Amino acid sequence: MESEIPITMTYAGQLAGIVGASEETKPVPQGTALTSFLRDTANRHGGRFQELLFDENKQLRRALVISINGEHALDPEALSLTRPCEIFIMTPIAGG
Amino acid sequence: MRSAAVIALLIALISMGEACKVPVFRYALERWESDAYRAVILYRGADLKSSVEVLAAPLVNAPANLEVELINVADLTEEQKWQIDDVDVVGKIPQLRLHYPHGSNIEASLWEGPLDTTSVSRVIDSPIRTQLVDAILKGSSTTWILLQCGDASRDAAAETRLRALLDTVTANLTIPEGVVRADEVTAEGTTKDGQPLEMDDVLRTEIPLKIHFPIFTLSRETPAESIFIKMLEHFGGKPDEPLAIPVFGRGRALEGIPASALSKASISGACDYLCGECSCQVKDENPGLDLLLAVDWNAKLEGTSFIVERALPALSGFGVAEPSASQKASSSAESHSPLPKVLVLTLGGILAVTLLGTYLIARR
Repeated sequence: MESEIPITMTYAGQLAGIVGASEETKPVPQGTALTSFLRDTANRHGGRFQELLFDENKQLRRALVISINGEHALDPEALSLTRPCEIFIMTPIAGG
Repeated sequence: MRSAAVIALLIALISMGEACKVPVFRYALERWESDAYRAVILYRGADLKSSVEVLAAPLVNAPANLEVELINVADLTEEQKWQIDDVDVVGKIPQLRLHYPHGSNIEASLWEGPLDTTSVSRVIDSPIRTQLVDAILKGSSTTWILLQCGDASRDAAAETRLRALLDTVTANLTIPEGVVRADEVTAEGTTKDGQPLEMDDVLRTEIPLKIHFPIFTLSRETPAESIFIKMLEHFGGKPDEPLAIPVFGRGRALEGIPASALSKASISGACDYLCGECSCQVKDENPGLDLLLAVDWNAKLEGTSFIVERALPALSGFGVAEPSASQKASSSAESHSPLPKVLVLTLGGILAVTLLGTYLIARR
């Protein structure tokens, strides 16, 4: 059985408004791809949250700032979640 | 032979996606033009035209990222009237409607009110905007606006927390290695010891390059900032919670971080992005929204600009338009990289296509 690790998401402006909180923690199987985790999170929050993170082709938007434990993730699609961490996301203003 | 061609192709393609060493905040200041806001002035009757023009003159003449349009609604056709919200409410008092830049996709007007000297002055400038610009031109990496909620204890706590986090970040962040000052570049576009370099890694101004994050507090009750505060509404947050908004480059702001989300991870994450290598030089593929500022950035930066000339080999069969010196210094918008990079990419593309074709033919 895969072990699970806690992942804390910290949200800035728009995502915090959608979620209704600036932080939430969720356990995920160790080794989960970051993109997969973000897709699950977006599916859970739906609509506007999904639009802010993913484009019409279901690809992670380029104009996002994603950092893990305070370090900017230059290539988020190449990362996996192997340890408990804090993910911080800033989205484009109003989808622009 | 085949594998060599494939390897060469991969190298050519990989080299196209390389990040430049100049930090994002500095790249934005030197190379990204601000997006223009739109001020639409509506009045009714040709007899008002001259007085409206006088009132609107400061908007039209300001060195701001602002486009101004004057419309006499009495001249509009029915079809044209349908394109303007609430056009019938425009009476003898001219209306000023301020809109975010087109690229923001924010359709609603930012602010609406009567056109008068007060509204005009508050649209284009305000005390805190002057402070932000001064700090940026003195080399601050990013200025932080702390938009207060009005609860003195929460505001003070948020400021203390933000200051402490920024101090920690300042102590741990470094400027990326490989940034080149323009005075380190020879006329041939190499380093002093003759090594080739990438012009995207070269700073274009003498403004100090440093890690420095000043905070400017802003009360929501400041009359002179009323329109600027409206401008910040799309940066997130709730009125009952302090909001920290990072501003960098030519007044580009990222989403605000609410006080409840002020943490080492969030502040370090934002600062690490802003002070890190500019991995994507295309402005529209980076987050943020430009603020409306009455600053002629090109003129402000010109006094400190380096102009690096690079001697190019003669090209036969190509028409090369050489930009003027002023164009080079003005760091025109977006991903407009210096000519050598364009040249490298073009030649790289030609090489890649040629090698791919060779490889495919060889496979037959």
